[in-house]
Amino acid sequence: MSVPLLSIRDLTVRVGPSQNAPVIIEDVSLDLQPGETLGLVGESGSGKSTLGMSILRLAAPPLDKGTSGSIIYKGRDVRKLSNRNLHTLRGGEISMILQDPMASLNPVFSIGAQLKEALRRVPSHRDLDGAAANALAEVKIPSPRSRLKSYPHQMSGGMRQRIVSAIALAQTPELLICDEPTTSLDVTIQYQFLELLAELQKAHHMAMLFITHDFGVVAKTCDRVAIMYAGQIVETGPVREIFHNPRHWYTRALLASVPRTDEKPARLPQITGAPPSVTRRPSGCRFHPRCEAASALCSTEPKFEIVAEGHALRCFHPAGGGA
Amino acid sequence: MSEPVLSTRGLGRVFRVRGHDGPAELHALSEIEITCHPGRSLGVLGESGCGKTTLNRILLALDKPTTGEVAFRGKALGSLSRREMRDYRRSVQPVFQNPFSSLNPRMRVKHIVAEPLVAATGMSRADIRARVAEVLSAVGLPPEDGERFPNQFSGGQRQRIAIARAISSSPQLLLLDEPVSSQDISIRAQILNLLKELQEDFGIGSVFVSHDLATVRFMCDEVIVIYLGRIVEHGPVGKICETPDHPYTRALLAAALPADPDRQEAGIKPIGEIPSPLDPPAGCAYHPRCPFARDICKAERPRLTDPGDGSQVACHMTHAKDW
Repeated sequence: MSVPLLSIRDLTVRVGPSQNAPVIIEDVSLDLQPGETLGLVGESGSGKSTLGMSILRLAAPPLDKGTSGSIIYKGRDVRKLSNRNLHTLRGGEISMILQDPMASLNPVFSIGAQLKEALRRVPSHRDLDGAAANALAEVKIPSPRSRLKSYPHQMSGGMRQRIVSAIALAQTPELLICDEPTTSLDVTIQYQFLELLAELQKAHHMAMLFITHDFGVVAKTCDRVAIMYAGQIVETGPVREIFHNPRHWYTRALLASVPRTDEKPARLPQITGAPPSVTRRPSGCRFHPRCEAASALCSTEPKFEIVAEGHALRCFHPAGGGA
Repeated sequence: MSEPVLSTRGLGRVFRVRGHDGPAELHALSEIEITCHPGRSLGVLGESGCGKTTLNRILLALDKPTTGEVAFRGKALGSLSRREMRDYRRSVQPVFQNPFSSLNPRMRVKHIVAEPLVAATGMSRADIRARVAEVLSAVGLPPEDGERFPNQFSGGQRQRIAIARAISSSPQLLLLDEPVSSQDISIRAQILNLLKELQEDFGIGSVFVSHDLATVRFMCDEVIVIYLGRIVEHGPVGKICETPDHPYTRALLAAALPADPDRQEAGIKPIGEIPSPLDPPAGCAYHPRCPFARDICKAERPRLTDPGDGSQVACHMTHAKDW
């Protein structure tokens, strides 16, 4: 395999520098190749958003102070960058799209002003208005020139999210972090936004880290997927492998519990209990109190082990095995 | 079939609003006909702005329709006596989307669950206490939890409390407004199974509002699809989820992304934005987004008619059969 664009090693994030502080992310390692899309799936409180924020050093200061491990982007450790270098990294090389476009956009500035703020950082742009109109046209906003004068409240949710992506792509980043970008959108609008993202990714040769809780979205957009539970990555692998041959019991149970349009079972397979809160995570395998295959061994810490090409998991009793 | 609990005839709701140029009329709902039988679940499928919330409010008698009427056991709501109205309130109970806002944080769980009993039945205190313990265990919570406050519970447990409240007065109909969309994925199956179990065990009917075809498939027997306040398709759940006729339902089917990277996408790719209900397109409201639209679709509103299999579709082209 080629050199990864982003390589995270043993990332642990605590709330503050003390060793006893609650742990949000624990021992996370992952690689992202240029141009590929990695899905990061987890429930609320699993640490998936904190992971996205930590890559850009945007996590809240106590979390930033409580971070250990390395985040290597193109050979440089993001955690050791000076503020000036971080400034050019953010938005320039690594960009981000968040869940709620209304919260990402400033309501008192026009779309054009907010877009040009990002475009101005690219020295080659002489005609900012023209570049802004082109950027809007790329995300398929109709009559882009006149739209530059519009304000966020004059647009629909789907359009706002497209504006946010235009801003995110203004400096042609190589990595785009998407944190649940479609959760606030209607389903028919979500579909179109995902298609647009895939097109933009191809045109710009970007890698994407796609944070979501929706397996349908992962199946449609991602090449590889990592499943997070209680701050750890419990399983990771190529999308097909994970969907057809999930080995971790959490992944397996979660996939089985999703309703389908082509089946009407009498009951859905369900996972008992609820995900643990950050301060009450169990020891050993974090999932063992809810796991049907748990044994006494599971209250000790399982290792993250590779079971097949690119497929790794953290489990003492992996399920299945056959293809 | 048994006598319907609730039915609507020609239901419409028009709001008078201030538009861009003077007062305007917003047609939130038009000509809605639904029938709810005990023990059967009716799905209401639609995206934002389709009038789901208005329909729910009218069915709960929190709002009055501008045209048409809601009938409770065959009798119009407007003509019910106080006593009958009390019986109506007891018999039709809601579960809302977000249990963080639908439970009063200052009330103990036992008081929350007892509220419908106190308000709409003449039960004695001792009977109410016994009933509260009974419904709490029916939703999978220990009766001691009655002494606690909502903030001591997780999202999934809170939704169980909301469900306990809804079933405490032995209703015949539950109005379920996206009851799982605010829940974590590992909790969704639990709540859906619980709702289905309760409906089967107690023979309760339901109106299940959702935007997700897969959830509707699991929960419902029959489905109406609403677009901009009008029913565009109505039929048994199997037909709506597998071989829908209306182009909008087919777009919803494509947008319900399957959790399987190899399954071929069904339906038709959705295009375009949801128009403002203040300025709905003439003719068929879906025509600007419809790949099959012809001249007649822009001029004339299609009526709900039977395409030949006992279901109902409002589409010129479905009946023309030449596309």
